[in-house]
Amino acid sequence: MEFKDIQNTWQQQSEQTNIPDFTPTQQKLQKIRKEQRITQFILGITGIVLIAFFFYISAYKFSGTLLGMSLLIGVIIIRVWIEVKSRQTLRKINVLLSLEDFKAQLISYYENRKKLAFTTIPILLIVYNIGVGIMMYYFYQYISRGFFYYIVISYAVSFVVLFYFIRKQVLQELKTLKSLQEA
Amino acid sequence: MKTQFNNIYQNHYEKVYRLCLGYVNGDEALAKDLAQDTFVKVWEHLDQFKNKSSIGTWIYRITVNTCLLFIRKNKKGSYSLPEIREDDTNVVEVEKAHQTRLQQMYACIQELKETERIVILLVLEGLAQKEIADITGHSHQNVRVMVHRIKEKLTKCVTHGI
Repeated sequence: MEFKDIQNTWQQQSEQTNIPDFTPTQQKLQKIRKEQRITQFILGITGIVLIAFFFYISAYKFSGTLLGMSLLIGVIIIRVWIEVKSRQTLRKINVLLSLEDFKAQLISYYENRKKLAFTTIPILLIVYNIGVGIMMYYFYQYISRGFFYYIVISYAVSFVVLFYFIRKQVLQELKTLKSLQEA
Repeated sequence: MKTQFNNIYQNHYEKVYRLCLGYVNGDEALAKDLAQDTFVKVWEHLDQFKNKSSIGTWIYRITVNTCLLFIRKNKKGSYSLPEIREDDTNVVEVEKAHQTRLQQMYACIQELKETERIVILLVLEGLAQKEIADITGHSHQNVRVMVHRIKEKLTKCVTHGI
């Protein structure tokens, strides 16, 4: 078989391709953009209200529980911020670049993700567990033994599940990076 | 702008869809999604088209980059066989043979590395090497060598199997 035959077979296919209507996609996109703006606005307002409430009830006065809670919430906020920034970076890669330049930018993006996965994320997990440890100390003092053990066990289970998903995502990203580097 | 986009969409959809189809191993559903993603990007960036290359080349650039982005989804498509109407036995046989060859082609394309896959799909669509160089960012000389090597690889695979 010659390459010409392969090319002919290729070009003969999908001669009756139905062209789907693009209008619903356009409308859906406009709706998503509008929803994103509303979500950002609501999140902004919620943040401002929470900060105002924090000062209103004088929660900034130091206590062990405040430290524990701050570590927990702080880690979650930083983690979410990292993911949001990461997605924005990926979305900002210019699709008008040539394939090689686009690939180079994708590789750089996944290398940064790798650095995050092996440096920042483990630190965040350690800090989160310190926060949990502090909170457990107070829980142990103020709540019944049965409920305390319930919290400890459910935390351990959820941490294992969370760790499994983080590991799965990291492995998938490493695989993507490898395929891109080999391409 | 809307009319301009609609014309582009009607004129280029089939080519974009076919390239996407080749990239995702002949999986029609995945190819449709990829083609839609491509045209969403075309729509968003249409005001940045500067006539430096043909609109076709410009759309292919977006298509190949959108395909490359698909890598992160880590999905391998599977060839979806079209339905064959069984009212003429001879036609059915010919059509079945054609489908088997296509399936083999898709499987062989899938065996290539990401960049090789994209380059050969552009060749199969009949693009000139200069245009492929413009889309991929390789030198013309480099593309010539690459195309020759990939063509040989693909022909060997389709003829003798994986």
